Amino acid sequence: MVRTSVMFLLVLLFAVAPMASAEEITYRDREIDPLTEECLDCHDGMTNTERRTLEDMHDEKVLKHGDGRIWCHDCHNADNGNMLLSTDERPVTWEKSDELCGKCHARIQEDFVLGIHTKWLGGWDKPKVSYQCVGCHNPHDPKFAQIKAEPVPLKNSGLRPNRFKKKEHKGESNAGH
Amino acid sequence: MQDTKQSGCMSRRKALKVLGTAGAVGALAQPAMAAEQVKAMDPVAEFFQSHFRDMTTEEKLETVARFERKYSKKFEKDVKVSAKDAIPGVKFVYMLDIGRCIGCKKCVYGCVEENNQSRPSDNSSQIQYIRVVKQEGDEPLDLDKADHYYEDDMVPQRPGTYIPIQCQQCDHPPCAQACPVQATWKDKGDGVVQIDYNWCIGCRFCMAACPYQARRFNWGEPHLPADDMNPDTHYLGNRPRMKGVVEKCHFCMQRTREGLYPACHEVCPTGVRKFGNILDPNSEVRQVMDRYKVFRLKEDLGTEPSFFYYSSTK
Ligand code: HEC
Ligand code: HEC
Ligand code: HEC
Ligand code: HEC
Repeated sequence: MVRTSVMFLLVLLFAVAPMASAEEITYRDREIDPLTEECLDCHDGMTNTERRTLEDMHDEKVLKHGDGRIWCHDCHNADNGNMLLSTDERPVTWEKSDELCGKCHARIQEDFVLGIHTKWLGGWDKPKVSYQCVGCHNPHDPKFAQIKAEPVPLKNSGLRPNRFKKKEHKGESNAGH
Repeated sequence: MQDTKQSGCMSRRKALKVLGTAGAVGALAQPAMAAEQVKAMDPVAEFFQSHFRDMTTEEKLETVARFERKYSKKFEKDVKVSAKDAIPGVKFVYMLDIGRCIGCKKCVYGCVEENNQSRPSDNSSQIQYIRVVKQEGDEPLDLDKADHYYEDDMVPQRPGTYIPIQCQQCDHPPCAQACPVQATWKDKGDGVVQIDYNWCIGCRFCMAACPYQARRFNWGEPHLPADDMNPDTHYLGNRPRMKGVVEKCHFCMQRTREGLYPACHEVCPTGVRKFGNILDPNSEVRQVMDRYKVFRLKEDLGTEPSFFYYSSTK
């Protein structure tokens, strides 16, 4: 009996440990949509939990997240003026959205807290500043967006300069004749 | 080419022996010399300077001050050359998540900007420390099949794995063993394999010895426009190089010995690059090691790299 309760305590400790350090994370400054200050203006007491295509407002919010398995209110708190996001029925602020994501992506959120699935700024020996999940993933269309790649390295990179240039010149003058 | 370079260097060494301390070096050491005179003697002092590792702290500071004068004049800006040693109790390790690297090559160019590599021009080659290679498909990793010149415009293109490769800062560096003049050696503290460019004779034995193709040679005078020159440098790190010397990644020692992240880490948009002190149990690199299986490239060669790879998607 004693042993099981010790085990239980240990499990509890381990389960809580990453959360504890989550409190200490400093987030990178980020532009949040100014609309997030105004949700309550319209949503004070107005919620419709029915799953539908939105037309009167937010019509650009077509969820490309979770193959139709999730809906706005899995992330947006229906009872809290839609101002906050919720995990385990607990309201979460816009700044702490990683705790929301952790609801369904638990392993990734653990990695996030430890500095693995995220990017830390500052320095290895300096106070750390973290990206947020939504700094890299759009919550409504979360696939990591493709970006343009930097140029392909030159084929003669690191070799003697002009190695291929002479040939080119020859080719040009030949073409002229 | 190699022969002339080497023999030219031998005669330099011989001259040094003949002249000994009684010669120009001795004259330089006299404290009463005016600043103008010191400046005039700079090129001579550079010619006769000894191996950086063998210098006393005082000599090191004198040396970097001399290079600061030289580079500040050449690039017309205030150039700092640091001689900072490794931080005690620190061993640097790099970890890279190849499961999530998107192959954008931002690290390659961020590195070039930070580390004053030669930019391509008519007379000089393009030098990059980081090679990103791509392996198509879902097959297990095989470097022989990977392509250095993949032309993906928008990345990532899945299925496909992108693998950035740079100096692996081996614990048993074959390059350092191959160097006939010990111009390249491993720091016993933080473990960075460093180069005294002024001691390098340009024989390129180290390049042949490196199994990771991490070293680059300056065939021509490096092309570094003054505007692009990064003035925060380290003597063994990113100070401007000259024709005929070998260079490579040094974990951005001018940054990392100040507690910062390397430039490649800083510019990466995905967060797949992890850097830190492996002796610190709270560092990100230790967390990765505790949670994921890590591996190193060409492990069977026994080079013991300080650069690890892992995949957090598997
Ligand atoms: C200008 C008024 C207005 C503002 C401001 C506003 N909404 Fe809405 N919202 C609406 C309307 C109207 C609907 C119903 C649209 C429909 O049914 O076609 C809606 C629907 C929703 C829904 C779908 C579920 C439901 O209750 O109908 C969510 C979730 C939602 N809004 C979240 C937010 C959030 C989060 C904010 C703040 C960032 C916000 N809204 C700001 C007017 C607003
Ligand atoms: C996977 C969780 C998730 C789901 C599902 C979700 N949202 Fe969001 N939403 C978020 C997060 C997180 C933010 C905050 C983004 C930020 O901080 O930049 C947000 C922000 C918003 C905003 C304000 C900022 C903006 O992007 O315009 C609106 C409006 C909004 N959501 C509406 C909706 C509606 C409507 C739905 C349902 C169709 C929905 N959301 C579904 C997580 C979700
Ligand atoms: C209510 C559950 C839920 C929440 C909350 C949630 N997700 Fe998801 N997410 C899913 C599901 C389901 C999938 C689809 C997984 C699959 O297809 O295997 C998914 C997929 C993803 C993907 C992969 C997309 C792709 O196409 O590759 C990313 C990235 C992602 N989510 C990010 C986030 C982020 C960031 C948050 C927090 C803002 C979040 N998720 C919150 C349920 C959720
Ligand atoms: C620094 C940027 C960054 C941050 C911050 C970040 N991710 Fe990711 N995430 C990525 C990249 C890059 C990928 C891989 C994309 C690819 O392979 O195409 C990824 C992939 C994913 C996937 C796809 C499934 C998988 O296992 O590969 C999910 C789900 C996901 N992230 C969730 C999250 C959640 C949840 C958070 C916050 C707790 C988060 N991410 C924070 C960059 C980030």
